[in-house]
Amino acid sequence: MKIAILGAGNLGQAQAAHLARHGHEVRIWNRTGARIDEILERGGIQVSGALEGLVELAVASKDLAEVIPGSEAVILTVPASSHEAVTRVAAPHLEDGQAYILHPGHTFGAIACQHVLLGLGCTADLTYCEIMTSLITCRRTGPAMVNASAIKRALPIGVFPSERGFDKVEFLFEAYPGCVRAPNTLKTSLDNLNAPVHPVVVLGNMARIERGEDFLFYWEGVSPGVAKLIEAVDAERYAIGRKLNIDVMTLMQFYENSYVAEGDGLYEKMLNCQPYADIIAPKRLDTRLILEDLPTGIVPYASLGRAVGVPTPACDALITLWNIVFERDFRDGARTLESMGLDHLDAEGLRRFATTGQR
Amino acid sequence: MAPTDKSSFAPPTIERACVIGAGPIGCATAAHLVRQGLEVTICDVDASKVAPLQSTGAGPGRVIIRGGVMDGEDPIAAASTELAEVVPGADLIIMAVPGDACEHVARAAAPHLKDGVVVFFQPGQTLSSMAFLHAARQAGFEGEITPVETVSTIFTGRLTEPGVAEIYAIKRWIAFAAFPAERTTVLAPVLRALLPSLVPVGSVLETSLCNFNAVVHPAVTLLNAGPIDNHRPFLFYHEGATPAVMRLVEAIDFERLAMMRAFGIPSESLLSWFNRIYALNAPSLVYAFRTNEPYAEIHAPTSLNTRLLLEDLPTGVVPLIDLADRVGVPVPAMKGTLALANTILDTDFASWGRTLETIGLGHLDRDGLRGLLGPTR
Repeated sequence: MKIAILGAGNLGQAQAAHLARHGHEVRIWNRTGARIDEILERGGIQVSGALEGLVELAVASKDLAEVIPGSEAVILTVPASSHEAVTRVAAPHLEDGQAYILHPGHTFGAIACQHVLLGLGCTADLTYCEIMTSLITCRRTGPAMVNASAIKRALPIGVFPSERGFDKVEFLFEAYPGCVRAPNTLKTSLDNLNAPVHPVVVLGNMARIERGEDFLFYWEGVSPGVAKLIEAVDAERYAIGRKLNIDVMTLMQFYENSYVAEGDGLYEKMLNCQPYADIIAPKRLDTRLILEDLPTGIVPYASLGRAVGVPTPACDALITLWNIVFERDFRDGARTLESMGLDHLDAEGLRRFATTGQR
Repeated sequence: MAPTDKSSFAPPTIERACVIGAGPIGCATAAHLVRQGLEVTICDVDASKVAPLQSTGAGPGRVIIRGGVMDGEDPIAAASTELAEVVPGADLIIMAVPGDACEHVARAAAPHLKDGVVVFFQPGQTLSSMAFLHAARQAGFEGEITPVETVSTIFTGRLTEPGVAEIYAIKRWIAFAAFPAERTTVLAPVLRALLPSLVPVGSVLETSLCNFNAVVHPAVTLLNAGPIDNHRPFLFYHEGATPAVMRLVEAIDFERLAMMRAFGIPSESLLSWFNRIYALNAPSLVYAFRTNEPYAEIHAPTSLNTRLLLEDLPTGVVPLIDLADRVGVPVPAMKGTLALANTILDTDFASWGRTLETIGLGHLDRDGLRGLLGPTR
């Protein structure tokens, strides 16, 4: 298959290498040019860990016209907060029949991109797809060099509209065995597990992060009290899922299944989660953990809660406090049902919309 | 509820004081009052804090003050864990216990209160005066009580060991008011003779709305919950009061100021007040809190089960939110802080904390509260 990858950060590079190894013709693009130059200079991407060696790509370009046309699938590996912006620049190049894959989609990635394209008058007939979280645990080790420490398993992948089925994204299940077919993208959107964790841990450690203190983000930043607040946000997410007939993955299940972390409660599980051993706290507050996870996670949860009649006091309070701290309104420009033109829908309407894509 | 004929109140003679609470504030106040010639007794529920203050064969118990600003050793007339042993005969009761102990002390002390007693809250949190009065009345006390609230403790310090307090600072300009409000000016000369820092203001509604502990403590604690809960030591203000943290404090303070305006009460910002009482000239809350010298010694609590939440939410933020609702002032910062603290501590402070309902004022609206609690300045 011909596959376009938009976003050549560590995840985009690891993904490109992995799919190229599976025999696909991979074309990679990045908005800023340095990453592309590095790949061109090296003649590919040097991978280590779960993948090894130098992997050549069909195309590495700063020009979307060289990567999107003719591709059967377009995969976005950019921060969720850039989904809409990248979609805007991609719009003129998109073609009928392409799969438009958000890796990961955070909350409402597919619906938000559909809304952007409708607004631009883009008529390309796309099948949208959300991957629940990043499929590869990876980090950059140098120019066009990436270490992929693990290929994750059992992650949900959803298609929008769901009635189209998985034909267009079947290659994902071949490249990532064990991934699960979600009933729709409401499932992958509600399974955004960054949102209940990141803004809470940063909030409870606000002063030390702002001071630039060195500490292990999870192992030293999460405490029993902080974990209670994480659980409260998680419970709101779960309650929303029940109203939508979605079997939401709880954080407890996630730590059990994906990380095989032991322990009785969430706090213990997070402390026993080995991949957290070397995750250092950010040194400033304007981090993706807030700038991405509020507008594409907590804010959409709260919006969804209102639509389906589930109170979200923990999400609401988080938004209020983060608004004050950042002196801005995180609801502005965020993925709310209002901003995506869906505020007339109730739970049943949202389910129908996820199935048909008809507004 | 209104206890008395407003015109007949004469300035009381204060010869005996009973200090409830043998923490740093109680010890400092006791020592200070002894030096003003009063006979002072002390009560605390904690027997270990009371023991060194009790008289022995060698002589009377002594309270010891160190720290450089008011050092000395002063004799205590009696010290006990039982209110019944130290409250009777007291003309002045100094409440130097956590705000949430107010109602409990009022009920337990009711049978022993002297007619005409002045009950002095340092600090008054929000409406401790009315909470005490209501609880004492409910417990059957029918005599005269004049509750007095301050906006802050007069002394800043810590207990280094039972009976020994290290006092870093004596604050100036501590606002106080009595209930009924007319008594404030009558009491002012008497109380100022004992505690010169005191400055009379309009009413206990004013002192209650100037609950600066409620503005500062829960917010700073919440945004440092991780290191506190994980027992990682840090200087509470000098390290914990970063710009982001103080933006939340300031938002809460703005809500408090809006409430004061809605009640028609003259208001002063936290920053202005802080500069005044600590004799600073700080241009911002961050600068004020991170450079205030007495705060160099103030360490963060080592548990989330701290008075900074367990006292200042139920006797501060909770009644403030109730008052805000009565004057129609939105207080999202207060409510957001309370909601997250509820979750972290697994409780619902509003369900058991102090509200106008629990202190017998549930039937009053804005004008009713203004009418009862007193005139503005």
